[in-house]
Amino acid sequence: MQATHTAGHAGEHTHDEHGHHPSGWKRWVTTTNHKDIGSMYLWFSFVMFLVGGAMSLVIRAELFSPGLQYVSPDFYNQMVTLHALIMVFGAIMPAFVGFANWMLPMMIGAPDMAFGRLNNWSFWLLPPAAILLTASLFVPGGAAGTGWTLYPPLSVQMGIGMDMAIFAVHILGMSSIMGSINIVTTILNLRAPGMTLMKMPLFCWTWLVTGFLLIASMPILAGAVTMLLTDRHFGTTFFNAAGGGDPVLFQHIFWFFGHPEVYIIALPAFGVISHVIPAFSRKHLFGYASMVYAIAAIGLISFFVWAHHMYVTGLPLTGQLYFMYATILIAVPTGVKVFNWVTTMWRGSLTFETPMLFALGFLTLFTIGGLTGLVLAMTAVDIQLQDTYYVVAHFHYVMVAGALFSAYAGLYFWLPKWTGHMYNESLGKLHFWLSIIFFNIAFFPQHFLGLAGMPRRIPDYAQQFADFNVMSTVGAFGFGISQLLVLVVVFQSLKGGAKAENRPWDGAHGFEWTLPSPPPYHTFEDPPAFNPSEAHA
Amino acid sequence: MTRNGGAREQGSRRIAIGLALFAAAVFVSFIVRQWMASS
Repeated sequence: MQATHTAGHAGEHTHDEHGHHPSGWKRWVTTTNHKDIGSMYLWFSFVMFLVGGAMSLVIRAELFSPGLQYVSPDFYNQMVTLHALIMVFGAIMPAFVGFANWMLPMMIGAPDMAFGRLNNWSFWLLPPAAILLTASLFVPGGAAGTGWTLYPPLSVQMGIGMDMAIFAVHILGMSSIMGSINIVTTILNLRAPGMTLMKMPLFCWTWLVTGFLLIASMPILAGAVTMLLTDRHFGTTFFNAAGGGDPVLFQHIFWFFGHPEVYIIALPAFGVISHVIPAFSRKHLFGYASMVYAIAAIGLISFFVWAHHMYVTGLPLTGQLYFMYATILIAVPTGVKVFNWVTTMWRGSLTFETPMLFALGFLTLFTIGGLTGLVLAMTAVDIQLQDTYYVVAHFHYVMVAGALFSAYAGLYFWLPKWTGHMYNESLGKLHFWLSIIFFNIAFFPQHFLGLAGMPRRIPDYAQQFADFNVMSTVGAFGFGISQLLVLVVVFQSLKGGAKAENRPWDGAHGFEWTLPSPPPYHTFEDPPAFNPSEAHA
Repeated sequence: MTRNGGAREQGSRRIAIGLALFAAAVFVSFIVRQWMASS
């Protein structure tokens, strides 16, 4: 792939609308540059990751032993709710939007995102939403304690903290929709000449499908919480049985958004892995076309499986059967992806730098999370396991070992490109090994707790669950503390270290690796030439 | 793919407006549908 990038053109070009560089705080507040905005997304996401992580440690400290130890049941519920909302909407989603902002324009040879100001606004909506969520802890009645699902009737009855959560969700939804419109438009309209959709890097494909998922599902969530708001304050009874409404309706609406949301998080993670594994296997990705079709299939099917979260709400038998089979169907395209990643490695010239370690950690643990997902898809089994710690274990294998490990793979993979310096490989590997060991200590025992019947979202438990809970808490604290290592790695890389070449990984291919490390403020102001024979690398 | 900057910008705007209208339509039609069903 050849590129005629415009390194150093920032001062020569007459891009007045892009060429000015405000310095200090103004640079960050007013920036329309995709690299600046990408960095802000990533930093915001890491701060939220620490805040949400601290909340999870409150939960695990309380569960260290049976009985009520440190917090009231009410506050415990608030921690459970905010931990989930912050991690999903504040940490994981913005992390992948940060990757998209940094990498998509460089991958497709575009000068920037399609709408710079919209991009700036999409980011700056996030801090007020985060403040609303966290500040709700300090209002009378405290934060929402409903769990991230915000189910009525509890969510109709709670105090002002619930309203703050609703407004936060509205704002986060607006940010997501605007960000997605920007990303979809950029991918559809700003690709370098010759780069057809089927020659696009796979990370772009995952974000194209994710963008459509967000645009189609976020308004549903916005509608649901708006109806919740009108039920709370304007006398409607959408979800109030006393007025002819139905609380189960909310569950249908929420999960019609909520299940695509799982893939909104997972698909970009798949995209990152699809770049890292080929680079460290020194091979082209196996089965590019089937990967694209699998991504599209996962995106489509994700809209037709929502009620597998609701097997115990009294669905008719035919409904249960339909949702069970539809859910199991998702294993087919997901299996295609796992098969293709493994086959990419087959007879490759493998090396195990930190990004590859995190990618392999993702591959093994996400597969475990996928398999427990299949277990939970079985209606008869799920009726037993509904709302037990088995479910908690399952979705943490998908969300932490899946999405977070993939985010780390991407961070270590692209950090040399962003900062211009190689990171400390030993610290990176230490971070990986501590993460994977403590993650499994924290979450693997939760499968056994769930199978034995320990309910989730309850701060107390019976004596027989004590041993596995001790293990889980020790693992959670170890995992939490070891995440601070990434901060050290990033600061070291920002400050100095060995100079990164344009293409620090010899197996990596694409426009982004033809640029200097770090790339200049403005890149690809003239579209680069695309060499189709090197596509899918 | 060889369009000039102006045509490209116009194309971007059209895609964005289309997507935004779709999102707004989903939001509004959804609430209206539930409203009709519950009244």
